Amino acid sequence: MANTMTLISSVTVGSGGASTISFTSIPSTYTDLCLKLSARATGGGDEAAALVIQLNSSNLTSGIHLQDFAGTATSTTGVNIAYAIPQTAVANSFSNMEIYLPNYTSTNTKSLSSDQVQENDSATIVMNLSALYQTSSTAISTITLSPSTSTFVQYSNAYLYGIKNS
Amino acid sequence: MAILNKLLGRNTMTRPTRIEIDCSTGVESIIELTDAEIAQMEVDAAAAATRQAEEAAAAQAAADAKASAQAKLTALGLTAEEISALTK
Repeated sequence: MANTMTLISSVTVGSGGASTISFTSIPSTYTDLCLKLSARATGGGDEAAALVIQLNSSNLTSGIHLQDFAGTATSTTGVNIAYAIPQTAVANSFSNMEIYLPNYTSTNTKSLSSDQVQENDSATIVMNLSALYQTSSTAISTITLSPSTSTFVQYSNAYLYGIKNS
Repeated sequence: MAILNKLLGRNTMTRPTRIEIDCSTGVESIIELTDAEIAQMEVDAAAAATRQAEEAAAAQAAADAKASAQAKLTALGLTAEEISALTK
């Protein structure tokens, strides 16, 4: 079981916004990676604000998501971490999410799990639990995050942690 | 300068950017998107807007059908409790 957590890098989006956030040259000296994100997008709808995550500049292979839209549970499939970021949400509110990538240097398929909530008013709050994977035999050295068709707003931030099991 | 840019036809609008953090050095770079990347963003945004409109229309159609069905059941003499029991 991984028992130490070290901050590798972090970023806070500036006043101009950003279409993507990329962590490159990720060291391969850890066992797992953990990404913590607080974000808001400029998109005017859920589709525009769905979070896209790429590993080594490639899309994920598949994913499934359990969601709760203001008390109504749904399930969807897709490679985007759907509806992760508030868009037409309450002013100045940001989403919380954590993405965990175990064994990221393995030559086996890379699996991810993530949980997200939108910090919105009670009428439209969204919770999302996702399981995703990418069929790749290459160690993960780059992670790219973006709202599917909009941009991250100022003060969105991301923290990438490396986790060791020793 | 603004007048000069206008006369020369320069686009002085702020271009969208992306942030890249090199984890080996800690260096953070803010990079302007290329014309091709901006064009792709616009295409994706239009497609997303279309998908969202289609999903909203489908959800509205389903809600209308449910309301219509409930009204017909009421006309047949079912109580609200009986209709609710049927739809669970």
